[in-house]
Amino acid sequence: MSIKRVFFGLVAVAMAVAPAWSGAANAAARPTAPLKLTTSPLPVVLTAKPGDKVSTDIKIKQSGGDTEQLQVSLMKFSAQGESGQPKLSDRGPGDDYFDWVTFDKPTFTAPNDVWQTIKMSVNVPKSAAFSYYYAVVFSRVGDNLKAGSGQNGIAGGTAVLVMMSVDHPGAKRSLKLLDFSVAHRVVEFLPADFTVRLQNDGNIFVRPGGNIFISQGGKQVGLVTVNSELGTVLSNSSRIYTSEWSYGFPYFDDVKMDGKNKIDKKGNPVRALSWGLPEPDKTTAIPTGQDEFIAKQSRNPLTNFRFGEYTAHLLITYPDNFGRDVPIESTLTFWVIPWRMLLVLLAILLVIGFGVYSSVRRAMGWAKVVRKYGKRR
Amino acid sequence: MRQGRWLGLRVGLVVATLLTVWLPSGAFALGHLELSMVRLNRMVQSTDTGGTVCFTPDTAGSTSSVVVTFPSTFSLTTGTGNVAVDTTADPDAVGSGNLYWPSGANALTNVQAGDANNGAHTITFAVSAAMTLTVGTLYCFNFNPTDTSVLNTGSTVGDSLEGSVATNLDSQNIAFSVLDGTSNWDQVTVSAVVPPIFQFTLGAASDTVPSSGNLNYQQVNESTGVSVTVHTNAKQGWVAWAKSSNQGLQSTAIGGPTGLIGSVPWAASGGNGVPTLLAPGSASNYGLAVGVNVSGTSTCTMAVAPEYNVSAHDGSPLGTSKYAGAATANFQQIGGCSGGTSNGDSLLLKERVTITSTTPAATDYTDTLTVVGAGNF
Repeated sequence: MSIKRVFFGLVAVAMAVAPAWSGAANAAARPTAPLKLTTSPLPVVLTAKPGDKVSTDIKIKQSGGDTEQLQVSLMKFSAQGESGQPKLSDRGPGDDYFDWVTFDKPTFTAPNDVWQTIKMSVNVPKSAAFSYYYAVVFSRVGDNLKAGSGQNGIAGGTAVLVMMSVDHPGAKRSLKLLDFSVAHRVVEFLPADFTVRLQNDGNIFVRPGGNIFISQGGKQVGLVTVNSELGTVLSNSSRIYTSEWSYGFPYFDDVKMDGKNKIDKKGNPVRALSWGLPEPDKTTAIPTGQDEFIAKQSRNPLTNFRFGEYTAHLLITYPDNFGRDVPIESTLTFWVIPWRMLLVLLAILLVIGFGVYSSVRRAMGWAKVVRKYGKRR
Repeated sequence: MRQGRWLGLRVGLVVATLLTVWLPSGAFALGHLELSMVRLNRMVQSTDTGGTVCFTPDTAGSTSSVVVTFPSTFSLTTGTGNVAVDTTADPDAVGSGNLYWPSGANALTNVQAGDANNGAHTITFAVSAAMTLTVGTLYCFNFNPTDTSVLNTGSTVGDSLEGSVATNLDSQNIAFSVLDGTSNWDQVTVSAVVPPIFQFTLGAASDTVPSSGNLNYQQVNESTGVSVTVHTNAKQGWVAWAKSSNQGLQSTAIGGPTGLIGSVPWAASGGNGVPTLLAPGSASNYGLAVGVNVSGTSTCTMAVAPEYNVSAHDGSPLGTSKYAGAATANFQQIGGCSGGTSNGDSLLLKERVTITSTTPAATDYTDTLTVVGAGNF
């Protein structure tokens, strides 16, 4: 073989490989634009039977300005704390349920500002049972590559939470009330802050809902919605729902700063006394009964002056395996005593009483003098 | 004599004819309004309604009443003052709504509550102080029965049901339309679905620490920072996590542990993480600091995870604090917003680095941070 032939052979190979290599280099370039992803819906709830194939559409749109390459990956989530926040985790040993999931487009081209639909399918095996918690993460291809010299790469993604229940013999939907309490047994003015702590001692996630009925002397005077945000209690976890009854005159209202609730150093909302009545929340997307109840109440401040002992009756329900409502009930009492107002009133009464007493004493003194003077004459 | 009698008769006839033609009709009957209309609030059959009356007089002068005659198919309840009036052109102040008047309309300010008369099918609105009307001016007022059945459209459906509007000076016949009640044609039910969405924006794809120049061993070096902004209509709020690919700044050129400016350790306190005080000059360390960057018009409450909440830890603003939290291999929550919707709330994520005078020199120290956001469940 001549040197010439070898040379031309190498050139031919180089020419054949060069475009592919160049393309690979382009595909591997690290994106530089900001990442803006919008997903819907959230969270996704799937119900399946063993052996089923279930699917859901997840919509995604990127609005970074350019066309981007996006990719889908799978993680799992669990409850972090008791406030409904998820904790993301990578696949662990034994997490075979990751293998059940497929996406119709694991990577896809996403033009700017165009909604794309990604179908997530789950082939549920016959051995599957109870609850599975997936986090479908959308991210940009190339973001995990090393950034330029002296720079830190920032990769981003958005996770869509998917909760799947598999109806299997032994499935148990069960909630236990751990605590129903009010922050202070005695408050000067409303709001009264209620806490409902529920434990899911079953193996299927459950979404409870209900109300706290507030009454005084047998008459209902208030209604508070529990879990108006439609949060879920994951299996083998507990969750705290907080709600407040504030419809009274006057009441402590959250202090706003730049349109946001002002928070103190401990993370608690800062409140100030408001000489009015709370307005119904017109932004509520789903009727909960609370704002409808408020809308029917008198706007007369005097009839909404809160004083004395109140009874709060909690009634929440959740669906059992057959869709029937299972009730959970509890009752507590609390007091509203506007003690500062009462002290001022007492002080005024004392002053008036002292004034009357002094006047009477003085009048009696004058009467004595007059009698004495009259006798002398 | 006979001829003279005939002549007189002829002259009389001619004069009578001329008088009939030439005398103004107003001398015997009301003039015609230039324009008149009655817009009913509801047009469907057998429905109680109020409405708006508008008219433009054609004759100068004053009127002491406005009489609206409704079709004989309408039913009214006879009474005195049982039809309230108002002269608010645009009650909801948005330039639309059921009481919105035609452009250029003037309030008939002296109009009084109307008296309905079922026998005559009229509502008579007195006009106090015999208001002087200007020819060519459009006058309007709204009327609303004070009770049910005072004015009902009746069961007859039709497009040309005759009625009229009259002042003391002018009148005009008008046509009323009454629509079939089975299809409720005067109302359109509008329904729409707003899906839950989650929009996640990462402000940059890379970040440089320090923002300019080289790392200085005499100070805490800080990056410009990357914003993590979220818009979501989900009422549960959202959360963001971050993880580090190198758990420090790694130099490939140096390689191995020698080329790593390692992350500060995860420091736990009271069940939560706490940030670590950085020591420039005496330790090579890398970490993350998070602050709240922007508060949008949201209803959720922002919070930074304790591990990265450097401002809360030493009371200094994010830009002057000397603390940082661990950059971990697994996703750690860096912050979020809970208990409401989010309209552009954001976190600012900064990398902080300290080196010593013996930290090996290299130009390729880098890390890749992955930030993921999701709505709560």
